[in-house]
Amino acid sequence: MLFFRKEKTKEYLIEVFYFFSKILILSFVLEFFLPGLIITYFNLNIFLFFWILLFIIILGNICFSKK
Amino acid sequence: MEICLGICHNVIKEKGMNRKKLRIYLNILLFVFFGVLFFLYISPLGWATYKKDFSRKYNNIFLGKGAIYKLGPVDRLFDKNKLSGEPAYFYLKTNRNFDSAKIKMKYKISDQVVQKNNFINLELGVLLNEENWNYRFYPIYNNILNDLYHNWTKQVDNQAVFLQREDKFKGLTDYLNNKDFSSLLLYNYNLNNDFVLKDYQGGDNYKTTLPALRGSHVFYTYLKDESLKFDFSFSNLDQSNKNNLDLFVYLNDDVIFSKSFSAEEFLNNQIVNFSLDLVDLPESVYKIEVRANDNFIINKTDVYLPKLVFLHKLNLYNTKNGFDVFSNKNNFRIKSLESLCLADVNINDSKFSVDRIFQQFNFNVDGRGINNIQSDSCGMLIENNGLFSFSIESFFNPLISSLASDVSVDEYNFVIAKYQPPTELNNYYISELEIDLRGAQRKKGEYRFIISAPFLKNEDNLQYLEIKDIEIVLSGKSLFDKIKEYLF
Repeated sequence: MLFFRKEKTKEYLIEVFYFFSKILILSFVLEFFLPGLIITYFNLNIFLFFWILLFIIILGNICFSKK
Repeated sequence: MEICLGICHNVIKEKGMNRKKLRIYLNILLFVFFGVLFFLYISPLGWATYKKDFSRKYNNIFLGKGAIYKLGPVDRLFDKNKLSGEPAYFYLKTNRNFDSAKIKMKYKISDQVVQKNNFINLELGVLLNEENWNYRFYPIYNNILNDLYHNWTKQVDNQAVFLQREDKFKGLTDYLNNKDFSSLLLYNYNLNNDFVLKDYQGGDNYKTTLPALRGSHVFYTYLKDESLKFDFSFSNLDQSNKNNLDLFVYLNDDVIFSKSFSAEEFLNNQIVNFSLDLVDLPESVYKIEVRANDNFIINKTDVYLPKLVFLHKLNLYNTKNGFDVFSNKNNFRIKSLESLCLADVNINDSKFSVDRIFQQFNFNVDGRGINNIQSDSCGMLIENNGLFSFSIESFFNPLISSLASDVSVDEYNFVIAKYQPPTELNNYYISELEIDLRGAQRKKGEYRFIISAPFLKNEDNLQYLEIKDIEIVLSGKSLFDKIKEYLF
């Protein structure tokens, strides 16, 4: 059961990672075409921090998980 | 893998469903996130509110930059939001144009500023034109008016406040009908004054010649049943100067005549003569402006009207026998632009020395009324907040005094002001003002604001103006109005 739970968490984390990737790409594109749309209200570094954190966790999970 | 047998198919199906659900939720979140931001960006309802607390580094918990930013410059700023010098600026980033803004500013003026300054005037301006640094100013705080609002009789009339030392007139309309504005002070109020010079005798066969003047000058003249006649002679000192020289004649702030002289007309050190002769003009005060840079010289001006006063400055050039001028103010900023012209200056009975070129000397004398400035110098720049004339007979004052640092309120009995005194809360002042943004410059999506506080001299950190926070409520056309405008 532990195996499934861990697998499930990994899948969810990957989904959230995709979400942050989309939000970052869209934010940069929109900020380029509509200056001030994002940075007035949000600091993109927060998203970038979470994106990197998730990236490291997922990468670690893939590399060090038992096969 | 044995565990999987029998139930594995359902688990995978369930897992797939959960992932799909999560993806849907996150996509909805993504859509809402950008939807909200886009709504804030286009302000479809035609209004937007921005607030900035300058004592905090970030605008919100998401560490956003905020729409109001760049309070500075940094060399006039300490402790994030305390200004020790002026002018200061801040920017407002908007995604579209707005028509007006209601600004609420919370600030503190340090005790040392209050102790050291008799006149504290704080203004906020919005940039209209970057090229000529033109700002439209609105008053925030004035200590003299704050006192007068408490101590004098106050009547509010058509957005202006009419203050009287003694309760003589029923209201502003009653006072304006009186037509005597000699003891009136204005503050942020334009009064269309139909100035009449009583007992004015026209100048039949009158003629006088003014000495040479350098650069821009503004002067007033008065006429009744005669023509507006001046003979000018202009020259250009620098042949590489490509700017124009412009001449304007105004009646009640409306241009009634203008002429432009291009740099080509001054080629080969040519002197340009021009005779201004406007006939059939009504009796009134006329303002004449020569707009030119300091490379242009008004060599000679033949004047055919007996009344003539210059506004704020005289830049005398190459005066062979020195100069003898008069002014209604008793403070002077005097500068010599040539070493040969360094000399003593006599103001009434006091002697002052102008012994360094390009240095501005500030001289004050006790005299009230008309003061005489005399020197053997070959030319100097003389400035103050008043009027100048070349003879005591030609002096007249068509202007209504405005509340300024060099004005003593004791000499006046009436004030008309467009000013809302601040309220006080926890040692902070709160001022609210309504700003017209039509015609304001919006460059790269930014409106630029200026804070004018002449009492801040960047001397020490004890004399400061603390800007706590600023709230700006913008209003303009809604998206619906714009669509309607586009379609019909």
